[in-house]
Amino acid sequence: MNSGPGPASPSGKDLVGLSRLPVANSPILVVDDIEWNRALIGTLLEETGYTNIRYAVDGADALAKIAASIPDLVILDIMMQGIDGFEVLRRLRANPDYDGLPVLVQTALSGVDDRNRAFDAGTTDLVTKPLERTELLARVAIHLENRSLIRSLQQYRGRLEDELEMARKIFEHMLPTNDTLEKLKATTGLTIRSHMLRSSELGGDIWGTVRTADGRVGIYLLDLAGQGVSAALNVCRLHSLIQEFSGLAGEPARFVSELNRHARELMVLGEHAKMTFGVISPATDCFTYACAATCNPVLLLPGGAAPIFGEAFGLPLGADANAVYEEREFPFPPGASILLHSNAILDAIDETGANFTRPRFSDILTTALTSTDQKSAFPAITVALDAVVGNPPSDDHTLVWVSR
Amino acid sequence: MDYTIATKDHEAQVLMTGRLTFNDHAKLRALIKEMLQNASKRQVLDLSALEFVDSAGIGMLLIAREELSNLDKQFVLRKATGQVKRVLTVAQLGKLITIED
Repeated sequence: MNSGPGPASPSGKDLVGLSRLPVANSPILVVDDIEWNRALIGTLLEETGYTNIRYAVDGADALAKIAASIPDLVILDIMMQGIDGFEVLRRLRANPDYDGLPVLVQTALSGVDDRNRAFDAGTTDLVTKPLERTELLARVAIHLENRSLIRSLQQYRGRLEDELEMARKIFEHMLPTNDTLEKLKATTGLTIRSHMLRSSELGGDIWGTVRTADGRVGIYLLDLAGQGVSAALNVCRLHSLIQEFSGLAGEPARFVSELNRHARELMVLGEHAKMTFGVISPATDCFTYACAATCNPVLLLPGGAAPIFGEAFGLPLGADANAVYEEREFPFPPGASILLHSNAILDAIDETGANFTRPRFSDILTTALTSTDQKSAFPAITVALDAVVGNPPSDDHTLVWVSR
Repeated sequence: MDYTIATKDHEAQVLMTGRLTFNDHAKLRALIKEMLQNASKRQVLDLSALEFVDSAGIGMLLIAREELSNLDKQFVLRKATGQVKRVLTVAQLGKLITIED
């Protein structure tokens, strides 16, 4: 074993030298109340190539130096006058600012009980005195590498979280504001309400309104496949397509077909979206809609009738450029409400083992509605469905409620 | 999601189990590669033991369909049940991919 000075072993390969990770400049604090020991450890580290070594002469000095600047590794003596190594450890571990700070304890304690006591106090690892060069350098390298890897993972994760947060803001920005909905109510008499529970991964739900050329109100619910940043990008693409082709909104099937053709060109193979789009025609008391792989719109007539489910078959947007979408129609008399919802609720019901999704969904709605009047119907449904999807749900859960 | 591939009656039969979701991206890419490379003209996904598929899973099925058709291979989805069957039906994937009971 090469225990002499110098980083290279006789074979020319130094197995305990510097890591290939950039740890040579990592700050290391050597704590020992005997000067000769500090000098020995310092020399071994310097010879290996570590450049940022600091020293503390006792426990109090160690705590002060760590408080001034947190090192990447502490090499700590246990037997010291005053504040000993155990006490230093206890105080470090009691302070959340030092979470994850590795402490390598050097000790002459060789009994199992003593070693266990050191680990109980929060020791990351032990080196026994008298110090063995190879062992010390190997352990220093391991803990600095861990520290460096964990730090880069934390940075990467932080960046991902920032990006997800940006994507989340993009989503929120595209949703109708309360102001828009108030104005819509004032000019058309329609009450539109919504409820969203975002999944932690950020699914791809948005909804919004469009005015047709003849002044009717169109309403859409979009659910982008995938999650996070790529879903956010596709939400932007589809949102701008919706604005661009709003001139066709008076004919829902044609509108959805047109969006689909363009979506197929804009999106990467495999990316797709589900969409429900419907237009409210007060003159004829009807709701005309087209669906691309979404969930059935639900009609709730005044007077406590059972919920009526519309048909919703249709290829997802972006799957086939030539897809043709069907136009369907609901009666929508004054006093009635229409509920649009994303698929989180049906997936959640399926997952609980209920094989007949629609009757079960219908039961939940009926139960929620029996105990309330028309006015509080939406809050009652919201609460009942939240209980089924969970919070946060595994996919974005969106409800849009329109009443006349 | 997990899968096994067996060749029977001149077709490659892929038995999928578990849940097919966003997290299975890499695994499904590997499966598509295997389906592209094996000799059978007919690639069948047996979905009888698949419990759940999300929208990202549907996206991967669309990718498989396109890439297999580029190599003149036939892609078949077979024996979907429960949530998987509902999702395939609502999305009318039968218009793009052969779906068998």
